[in-house]
Amino acid sequence: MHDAIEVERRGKPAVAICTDLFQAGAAAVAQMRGMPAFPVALVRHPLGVLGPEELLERARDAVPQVHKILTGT
Amino acid sequence: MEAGIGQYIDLLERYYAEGVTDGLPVVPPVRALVDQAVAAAGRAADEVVGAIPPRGALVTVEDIAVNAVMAGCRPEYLPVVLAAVEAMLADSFNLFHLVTSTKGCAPLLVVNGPIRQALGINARGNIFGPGHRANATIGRAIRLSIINLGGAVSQVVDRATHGHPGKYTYCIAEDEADSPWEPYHVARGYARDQSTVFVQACEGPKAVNVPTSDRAEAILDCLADMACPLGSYTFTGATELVVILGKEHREAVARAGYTRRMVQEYIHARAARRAGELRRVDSVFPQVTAAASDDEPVPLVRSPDHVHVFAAGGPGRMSSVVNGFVSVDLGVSSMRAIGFST
Repeated sequence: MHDAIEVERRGKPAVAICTDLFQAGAAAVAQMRGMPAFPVALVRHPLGVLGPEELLERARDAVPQVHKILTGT
Repeated sequence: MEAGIGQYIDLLERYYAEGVTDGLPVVPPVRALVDQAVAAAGRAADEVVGAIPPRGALVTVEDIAVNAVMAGCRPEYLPVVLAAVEAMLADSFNLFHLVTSTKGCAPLLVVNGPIRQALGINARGNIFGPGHRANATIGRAIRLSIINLGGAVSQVVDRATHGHPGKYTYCIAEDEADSPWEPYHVARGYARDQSTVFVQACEGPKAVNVPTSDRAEAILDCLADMACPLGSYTFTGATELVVILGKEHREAVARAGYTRRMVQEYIHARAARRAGELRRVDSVFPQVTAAASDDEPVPLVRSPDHVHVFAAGGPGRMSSVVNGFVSVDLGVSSMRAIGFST
């Protein structure tokens, strides 16, 4: 979240992808960093222990959200 | 008098309600105490110290002084607190990662130089235990600054899975007066009469008990073994290590001719697991992935320079090892001179 906001501030569009269990923390960081409406693409927790198939599933969930955040459609 | 105490109790409850404590009562930061602390630091109240993550707002000397008073610090402790905060704000320290990570590590402070004795920072028995105001409150001032100024609220932004008790307070000193080696800060190039604070993001301390051998290698092998559990091999890569040799252990090790440098090299080489052992627990530690055979030793610590050896602790055949947080490429310990004149 921190990194996405910093990249956005430097003029590059950025999207943070985080797992649902960390949504509240992401929102708190966005608030603190002065961009409370900064959007997040949410995927199901966890990520670190997943195999390729499950990771692909998470990516499929994330892509339309990222697309919508970046393009508005 | 009773009315005053009632107001004080009400105030403590208000601090709890506002979420500006670590869960323990705090000292009300009345103006006189804050001013005394700022004066003791010899710096302007409105001098900017830096931006404490995760909030990242600029904080001043006075902001840190408020939290030091709340933690129970005497005014003269503030220079140590300020130096520790400044050490943690070095980019290479990566404080943001530390205070938000699930790993739940905490900044460990080790103080060297004349200020140890001036402030009474305990370097002998029970260094990680209770009963010593300077240790307890300087470490606590760091935590309150992280919570109140940095905004690392537990379970919201501070996402430690477990955390550890050092997140309340984690401050010790080196026992320079009773060490076979030169003070740690002198080994790092500081003048002996310069006070310093070393800060490293750390797991909790682990007691290393070697009660029946006076042999240096027996003691060092036990330290190295305790330093490299499978569960401390992070996926990010080789870390740092703090080794604190208790009085009887360091005397035995020094009697056998070991310098601090030799201890660093010995432990670095032996705080290692075979690649095969790590593969059996699905480790993706970078050196495991790269290892040519299962028999290849994989050191947990990046280099001998990343084994930080201190002399501290009272009588008894005990020492401590304290594992680091993440790869030294992502976050590394920091040292800072303390602005203080004896």
